[in-house]
Amino acid sequence: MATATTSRPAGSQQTRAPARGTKGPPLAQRAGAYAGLLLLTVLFVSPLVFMVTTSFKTNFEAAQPTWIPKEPTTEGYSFIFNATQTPVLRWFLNSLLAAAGQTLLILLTASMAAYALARMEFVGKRLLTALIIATIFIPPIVLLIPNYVIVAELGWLDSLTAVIVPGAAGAFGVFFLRQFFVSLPTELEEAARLDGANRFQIFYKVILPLSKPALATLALLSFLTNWNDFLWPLYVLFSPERLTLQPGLSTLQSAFATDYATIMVGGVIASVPVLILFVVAQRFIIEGVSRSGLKG
Amino acid sequence: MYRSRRSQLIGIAYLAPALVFVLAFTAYPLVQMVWMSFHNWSLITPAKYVGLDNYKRAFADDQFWVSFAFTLKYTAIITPVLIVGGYLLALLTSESSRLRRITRTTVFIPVVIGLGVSSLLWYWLFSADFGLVNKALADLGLISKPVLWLGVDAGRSNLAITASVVWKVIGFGMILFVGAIQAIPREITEASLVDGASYRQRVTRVILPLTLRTVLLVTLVSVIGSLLAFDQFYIMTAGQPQNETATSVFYVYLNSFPYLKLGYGAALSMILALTILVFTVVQLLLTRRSHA
Repeated sequence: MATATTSRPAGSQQTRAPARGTKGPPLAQRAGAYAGLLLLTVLFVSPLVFMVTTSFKTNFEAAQPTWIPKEPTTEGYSFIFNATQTPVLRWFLNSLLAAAGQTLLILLTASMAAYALARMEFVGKRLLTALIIATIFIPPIVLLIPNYVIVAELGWLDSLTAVIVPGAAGAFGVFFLRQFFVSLPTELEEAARLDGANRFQIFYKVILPLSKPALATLALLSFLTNWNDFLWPLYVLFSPERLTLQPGLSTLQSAFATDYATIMVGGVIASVPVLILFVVAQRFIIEGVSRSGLKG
Repeated sequence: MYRSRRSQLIGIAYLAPALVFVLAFTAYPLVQMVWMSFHNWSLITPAKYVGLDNYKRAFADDQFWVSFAFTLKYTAIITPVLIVGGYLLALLTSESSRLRRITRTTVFIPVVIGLGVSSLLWYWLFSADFGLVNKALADLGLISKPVLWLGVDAGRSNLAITASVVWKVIGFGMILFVGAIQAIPREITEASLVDGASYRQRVTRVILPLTLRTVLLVTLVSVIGSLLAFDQFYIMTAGQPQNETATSVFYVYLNSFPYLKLGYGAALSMILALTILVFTVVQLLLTRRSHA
């Protein structure tokens, strides 16, 4: 906290505003801040509101910037659910399967590895840890083309396996969980061991239940990342019925050009699940996003 | 002895699934990537060793430089907006009051939706004839005829896309800055209040120095993210006009797909990755110094 002393303002002897009761800036400034806050809230939320209201317009009305549809219609939704070239419902299911599948894989592999790193000693542990850490610094672009080739050789092109498996490799989950496991008190594990529990039972019945918040955070983050991924599925999926939502949406754009109501229906369908997740698990999502940003 | 050997094996067994994934889809591809960049290869024809030709070709390739320069320009424009803007938002919303929390949450919402979705949304908002942006600007009397935002002029496309991405990701930096600001010990804040520091003095001499590390880290993450920009350009301009808005990743994509030049694409990705590495090292050195 060396900065605390240097942070003392040079002219601190002079008597400025009395300390008592002036926690923040003065009243006029505060009123300005409130106005600013409201404006910001409106600014940030209105594009999403427009997306939703437009999805209930006719394509003709979507061309006119009105807030509320004059004749609200679910035309766009029924149209898109029946379009064979752009099976949005199918994409939705594909995205759901891919994101859920990859999340499960990550939870499984990362929690096991994290347990080993947090609670076990073995030869090569430091080397293997270093290897896994090193992968955090590899920009994903480097892996794009070689992984495409690997997936092609494995015969996974144009299948959901391609968007589930390779992306499950990653160091973030391992280190995120390891940090959490290390912070857990060892007494409960000792007690379980005395009761005759083996390593797997300790892992499964003691460690994992105690780690629910960390597991939830990792699960939500993995789900969101996979759900929102665009470039990789664009590489490995081609058939209309095999696409996930994000690359699917870009085909909507080329298929319906300026039918904005139709396109916004697609946008709403792609956003609703993540927005619901955000509403119910805001705290975990914010935690996960911040942790991933700072790499653990 | 038996016990320890056994527990050794158990440890490795628990690590194994994650390790197999990392080896198969990160370590091996990394090696293959370097190998590929020295070969001409199109999946269909056998690979042919060409030495450094792919790299030499890249540096002589006009489109490589156009893409590289455009990506750097995009990064140079968006990064200060994201960092300064995100920090101001954090200062504005870090204290706890209902409205501030609501604002913070609202600003963060676009972070969770996909960049693909937000790009489609803004593609429509920036549309010349039907878009709300032109409509709003016309209503305010700022423009007399519709502006062609996307795909006609590289600079204007860049501005429009920057605006849309700022909306989409500024909440990310903000939330990290809020975390850092809230982690400042209460005593320090109180001491500065007792000393009669003005709000501005508190920001510049207390809050900013104590959160500098987070600022540098977020800058690093933002710079890397911007250097890897793809989705928004693919959707909003498709590289138009004349691939002037095709970012570096976009050019890698063009080479791997429509043109199937995988070796060349690999060399291009290598150059981009090394650029990112340079930024990472510089930033980490800065972070370390600021921490000392």
